[in-house]
Amino acid sequence: MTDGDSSGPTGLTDLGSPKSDMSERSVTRRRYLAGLGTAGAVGVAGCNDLTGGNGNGATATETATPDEDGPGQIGSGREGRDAPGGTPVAELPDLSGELDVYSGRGEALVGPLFSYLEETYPDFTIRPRYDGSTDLVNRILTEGDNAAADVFYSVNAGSLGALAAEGRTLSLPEEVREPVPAAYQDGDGRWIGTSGRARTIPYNTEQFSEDDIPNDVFAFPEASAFEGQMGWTPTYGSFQAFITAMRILNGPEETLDWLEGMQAANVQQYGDEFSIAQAIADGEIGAGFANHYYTLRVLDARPNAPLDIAFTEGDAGAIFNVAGASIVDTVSDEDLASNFIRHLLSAEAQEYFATTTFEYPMIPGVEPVQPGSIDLPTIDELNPPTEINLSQLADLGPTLELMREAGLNV
Amino acid sequence: MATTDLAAVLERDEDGALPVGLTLLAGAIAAAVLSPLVWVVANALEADGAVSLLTAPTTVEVFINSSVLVAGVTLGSLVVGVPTAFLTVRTDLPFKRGFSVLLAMPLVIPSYIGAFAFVSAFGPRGTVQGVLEPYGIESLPSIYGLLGTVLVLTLYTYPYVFLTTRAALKSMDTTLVDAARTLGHGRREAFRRVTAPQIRPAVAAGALLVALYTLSDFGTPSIMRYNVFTSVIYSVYGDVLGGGRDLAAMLSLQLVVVTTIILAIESRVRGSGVTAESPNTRTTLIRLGRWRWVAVAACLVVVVAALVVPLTVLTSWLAQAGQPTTGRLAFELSYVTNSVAVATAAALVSALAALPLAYFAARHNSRLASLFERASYVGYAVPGVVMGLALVYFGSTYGGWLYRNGLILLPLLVFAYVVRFLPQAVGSARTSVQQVSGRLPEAARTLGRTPTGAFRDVTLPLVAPGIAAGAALVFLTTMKELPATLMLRPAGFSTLVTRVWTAYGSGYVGQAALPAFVLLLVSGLSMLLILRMEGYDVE
Amino acid sequence: MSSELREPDGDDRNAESQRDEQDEPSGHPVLELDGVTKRYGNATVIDDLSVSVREGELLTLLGPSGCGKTTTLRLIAGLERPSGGEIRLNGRAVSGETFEPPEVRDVGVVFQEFALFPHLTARENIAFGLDEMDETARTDRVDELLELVGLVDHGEKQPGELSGGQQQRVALARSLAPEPHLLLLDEPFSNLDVDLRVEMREEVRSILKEAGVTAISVTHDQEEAMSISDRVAVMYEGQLEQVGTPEAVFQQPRSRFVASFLGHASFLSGRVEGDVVATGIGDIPTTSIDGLAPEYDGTDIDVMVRPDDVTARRPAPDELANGEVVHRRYLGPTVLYRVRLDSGDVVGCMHNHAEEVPLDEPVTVSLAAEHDLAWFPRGSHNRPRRADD
Repeated sequence: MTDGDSSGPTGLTDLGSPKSDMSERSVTRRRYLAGLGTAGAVGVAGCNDLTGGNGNGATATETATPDEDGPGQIGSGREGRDAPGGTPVAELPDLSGELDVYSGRGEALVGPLFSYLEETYPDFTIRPRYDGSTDLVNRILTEGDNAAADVFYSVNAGSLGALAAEGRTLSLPEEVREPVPAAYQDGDGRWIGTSGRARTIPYNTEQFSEDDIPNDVFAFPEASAFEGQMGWTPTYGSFQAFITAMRILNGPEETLDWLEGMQAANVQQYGDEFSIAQAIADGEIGAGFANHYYTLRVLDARPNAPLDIAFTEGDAGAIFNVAGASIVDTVSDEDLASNFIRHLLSAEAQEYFATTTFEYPMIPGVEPVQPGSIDLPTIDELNPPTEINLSQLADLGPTLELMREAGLNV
Repeated sequence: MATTDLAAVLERDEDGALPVGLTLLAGAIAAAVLSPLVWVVANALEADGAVSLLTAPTTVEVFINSSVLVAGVTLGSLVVGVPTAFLTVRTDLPFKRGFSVLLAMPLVIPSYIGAFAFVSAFGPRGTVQGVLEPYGIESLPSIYGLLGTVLVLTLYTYPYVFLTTRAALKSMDTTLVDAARTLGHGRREAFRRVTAPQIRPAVAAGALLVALYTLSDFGTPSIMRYNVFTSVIYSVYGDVLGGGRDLAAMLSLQLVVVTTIILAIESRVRGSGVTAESPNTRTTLIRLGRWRWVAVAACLVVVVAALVVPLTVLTSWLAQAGQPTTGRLAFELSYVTNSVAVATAAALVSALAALPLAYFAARHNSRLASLFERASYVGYAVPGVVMGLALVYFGSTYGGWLYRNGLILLPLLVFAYVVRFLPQAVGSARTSVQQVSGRLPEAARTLGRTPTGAFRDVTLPLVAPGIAAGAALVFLTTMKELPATLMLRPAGFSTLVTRVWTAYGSGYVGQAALPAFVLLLVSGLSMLLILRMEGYDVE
Repeated sequence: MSSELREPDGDDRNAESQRDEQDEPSGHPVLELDGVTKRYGNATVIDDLSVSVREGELLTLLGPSGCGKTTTLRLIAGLERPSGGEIRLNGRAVSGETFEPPEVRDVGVVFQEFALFPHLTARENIAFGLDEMDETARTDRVDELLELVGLVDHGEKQPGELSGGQQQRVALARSLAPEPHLLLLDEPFSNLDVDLRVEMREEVRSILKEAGVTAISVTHDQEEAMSISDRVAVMYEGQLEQVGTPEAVFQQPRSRFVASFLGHASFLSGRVEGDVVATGIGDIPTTSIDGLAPEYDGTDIDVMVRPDDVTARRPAPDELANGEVVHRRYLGPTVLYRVRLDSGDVVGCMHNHAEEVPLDEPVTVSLAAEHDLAWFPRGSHNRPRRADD
C-alpha cells in the first residue's frame, strides 16, 4: 500500500488491504508534504525550496511549518542532512507548455512535485492522468496513435519495460540519461529510473538477530526457524517482479520449488507489504519479503519498533527496482517531455523522493534517508544480482503462470 | 388528426406486425449499448493462449468459485430481501417507516467500502478481535473466503430485491389474498399460492440485478480474498507483454456468456406474473403478535451489520488522532458537483433510453422485443476496466482531436455508465409500463386523443414515477462506480469515489473518510427520493 | 356538438315491444355492420356479422364467453380492424376499404374495468374528452354530467377513492361528455357486486334514455339483456343468431341455441297431424304454434315450451297421467320441477312455491301458455323463416 503502487489494474488492489492501524503512519512525511509549496528557507541557488528545508543543512523537519494536524513526535529523523547534490532546477532548461503525464504514481505523492514545477514555471501546465501503471500501459496500447500521453511515469520497471518492448517509447536524449547509472535505465535509453527500491527481508529484532537471517533466498523454505513466521504478498507488483527475477536467474523449476516450499513452510499471506512490516513490528510474524521503504516508514512512525532489515546477496531476493519515466511516442513536444524528465532527476526532486517516500535517489550526491535506528546501505553497498537487467522484469506472463501452477491465486 | 404519427410508431399495425418506428428505436438503443462488446469480441479473438488459459485448473476453479458466489449471494439476498419487504409492507411491524428507509440504505454504500469495514472490524487484526482478546478469545472465525464474501455482498445487494419486492407487494391486488384465506388457506399457503406468483417477476428482477452485480464485482472478492472470475481477468490483464488485454477481453466474454445464462434462468423463473387491473391494498395488516419483537430484532441485525459497521469504521478513520494529511487531498466542492453532475447525466440518459426498450418489451409480446430488452443487461457484467478500455479504443480511434484534448471523455464516461447500468432503469420502466392497463390508452383514444396524445396524457404520467425510480437507482449506482470512472475521466476531474481511492491508496486514510461520508450523504438523499417514488403510484 | 342534452325521442317501451321483429330498422341507422368478419390467424372470431342499430335505441349483444361480442365492440370502436366486411357510422364507412381511427369516430366506450385514469380526479376524467371546449363550457358540461350520474359531491375524488358503482358512473359520464353518436358498453355491470348490478343497470338505462344516446351493450347475462334492452342480438360462435325485441327472442327463438340460452327451454317431440300437433302432453292446435306452415304436415317437429308454459298436477279422474316428477329445485318464490313424460321428453315446469305438486305419483302435464309456441323441425338447429320475414 504505497504511493499509488498498483500491480493490479485500476489500483483497486490498493484498496485491498485493511488499515487497522493507520495512526502509525508516517508523521514526518506529512510535514514535508505540508511544507511543500511554501517558500521555506532558501534552498539551493534561491529556488523555491521543495523540501521545506534550507540549504545549510538545518533539519528540514525542524523548520517545517506546523500544519493543522499539529506536530507529531519526530522520528529518528533526518538530522544533519547535507544539501542535496545533483543539478538544481535553476540550472535546467525552463519548462513551458502543456504536458500530458500518465502517472502510475499516486496523486498524493507526486502531486506536490507537479505543483512545485507548475509554480516554478508559470507557463507550464501538467495534465496528469492517475491510474495503475499496468492500466496506463494497456491504455496507451489501446489508444494507439491517438494516445493523449506525452510522458509515462511509472512505479516499476516492469511496466516501463513493457511499454518500451511494445515500441511505444522514444529514446531519451543523452543529457537526460547522463546522471543515472546504467543499471537503472534502459540500455537503449527508452526509459530511465527516477528513484529506487531494494528488496529486503524485514525482521523482528526480538525474535531474530541479523546473523539468523540467511543471505540466500533459497534457504528460507528449509530453515525451520522461519516456519510459519514469514509473510509475503503474492499479488503485489514488486513481489511479482522478484519472482520474475528468480525465474530468469534460476529457472522455472527452482522457482516453482521455492514457491511450493514456502507454502509448505506455512508462509502467511498479506494484502500489502506495509502490513507485513507492521505485522513484523507487532510480533505477529518474524520476517517477510518487502521493499525497503516500508520498513523505513514504519520506523518513522514507530521509532522504537523492534524492526530491522536484512538483505540477501546477489540473488533475486535482493533485486533493486526503480520507479521511472519514459517519453511516449505520441508526444506532442519532445523537448518539453525530456526536460520534464530531467526535472525529475533534479536535486530538489531527488531530495524530495528520498525524504518523502524513503526511496533510494538515482543520482549521486543525494543520500537515502537513514532512519537512525538502523543502517541503511547506500546504493553502492547493495548487492543486487548482476546477471539481470531491469527490462527483463517486464516479462510477467510466465511468472504468473508459474505462480498459479504453485497454487497461488494471482 | 394524423393517423401516421405515433400509431405507426408505438402500436402494432392492423395486421399485427410490429410498429416500425419503435422497433428501430429500441433496436438502435440495444445496438448502442452492445457496441463496446464489439471491441471485446475483436480483442478476444486475437487472444493468444486462450485455450490453455480457459482450461487451466485455476480458471476452472474460479469459474466454480464465481458460480458458487453468485448462487450464494442471490440466495442470501432473497432470504434477507423478501421477508423484510413483506414485513415492512404487509405486517404491523413496529417502526415500519424507519425500517423501510434503513433497510434500503445499504445500497448507497459501495460494497468495497463495506468489505474494508468488515475486515477492519472482524479481521484477524481487527477491532472486534482486539476487544475480545482480553477475554481470552484468541481468534475469530475467518472473515475471509467464501462465507465472508457472500456475507458482505449480500448485505450490500439485497436492497435490490427488497425494493422490487416492496413495489410488487404494494401494487398487488390483496383481495385475492383475502379470497384465498376465506377459501380455507392458511397464511403460508395463501402466500405460496396467491402472493408469491404475483410478486415473482419483481423478485426475479431484483435477484437478477444482484446476480449480475456479483458476477462483475472485483473489489469485494479481492478484499475478502476469494478468487473469482474478475480476479483472473485483472491478473491476466497485468501481463501486458503476454497479450493481457486480449486475454482479459476473452475472459470478459466468458462473463458475458454466463450473463446470458443467468438471463435465461431469470426468464424461466420469472413467470408471467399477474397484472393487477385494480390494485387494492386495503387488506388488513398481518398482526405479528408475539413475533413482532423477533421481527424487529431480525431487521435490526441487518441494519446494524450493513450500516452501522461501515459507518463506525469510517468515523474511526476520521477520528483517529495523528492521521497523516496532505494539503493535496483537501476536500473541494468540485468533487461533489462532479460526482452529482455525471451521475445525473447518466440517470437522465438511462431514463430516456430505457423507456423505448421497456415499452417495446412490455407491450409487444415478441421475441425481438425481449431480445432488445435483454441485450441491455449484457453490459452489466462486463468488468468496468474492460468496458473502459473498449470505450478508450473507440474514443481514440474515432475521436481525433476531441479525444486528444479530452473533450470527448466526459460523454464517453456517461455512455459507459449508461451501458453498465441501463438494466436498472429498464427493469423499473418495464414494470411500470406493464402495470398500466392497455385499456387506458384505448379509453383515451375513444375520447378523441391521437395515439401520441394518449401516450402523453395517460401512459406517460402513469409510468413516470417508475421511470424516475429507475433513474434514481442509476444515479445511486453511478455515484459509487470506480473503475470506468478512473479510466475515462478527463485530467483533473475528480469525483468523490476517485478521491476516496486516491486517499486510501496512498495511506491517507483520514482523508478518505470525508469524501466517503459525503458520498454516503448524497447517495442517501437520492435513496430517499427512490423511496418516495415508491409510494406515489400506490396511494 | 351542442351543449344541451338531446331530447329523448318517444321513450315508450310498449310501443317498441309491439314492433315486429325485423332486422332492417325503420329509423335512421346510426351503425351498420355489413358482413363483418374478423380472423386472428386461423381462427375466425366473427363470421359475416350484419346488424343495424337505430338512433336512440339500446341494443344488447348477448352471448356466452368467447362468442365474439367484445371483439365486435372493439371493431365498432376502431380499436381493431375487421378482416372483411364494412362498418358504417351514420352512413359513413369507417372500417372496410377505408379505416377511421378511434379518435375521429365519435364513438364512446365504457370499458368493463372502467379504465378510469388513476392519476386524474373524477372531474378531470370526465373532462378528458372535452379538449376542444373552452374552460367555462367544459366546467359546465362536467357539472351537468356529475349531476346526471348523481355524483355531484365526488368530483374531486380520485378513482381509487370511489366505490365500484361510483367508478362506473364516472366512466359512463366520461364517455357521455363529448356527446358521442354511439356509446358502447362492454359488460358494464359484471365488475359490480350482484346486488348493485340490478340497481345500476336500471339507473344506467334511464341515464342513457334521458341523454337520448344510441347505445350498444355487451353482456353474457341474459337477465340484464332482457330487462334493459330495446333489442337483443344473440351471438354464438361469431355469428348472429337472432335480433329482436326481448319478448320476440324469448318467446320466438329462431334457433335452439337462442331458445336454450334465454331461460329454460324444453322441447316436446311431436308430429304434425292435420290441425294438431300430437305431443307427449296432448294435442296442441297448430294455430297455437307460431308460423307452422302447412307443408310440415306429417313431419316430426319439436315444440318449445318454457317452464311457465306448462303445469304439472294430479291427474283428474278422467285423465291419464302422462309423466312423473324426476327432479325438484326450490328457487325461493318458485319451484322448478322436471317431469319425465311417457313420451320420453323431459319437461320443466315452474310452480309457485305454495302449490302442491305430487312427488311420488304420476302427474299430468298440461299446457298453460296463452301465447303462441315456438317450434323447430326435428333435427334442425334453426327454425325456418316465416313467409313474411
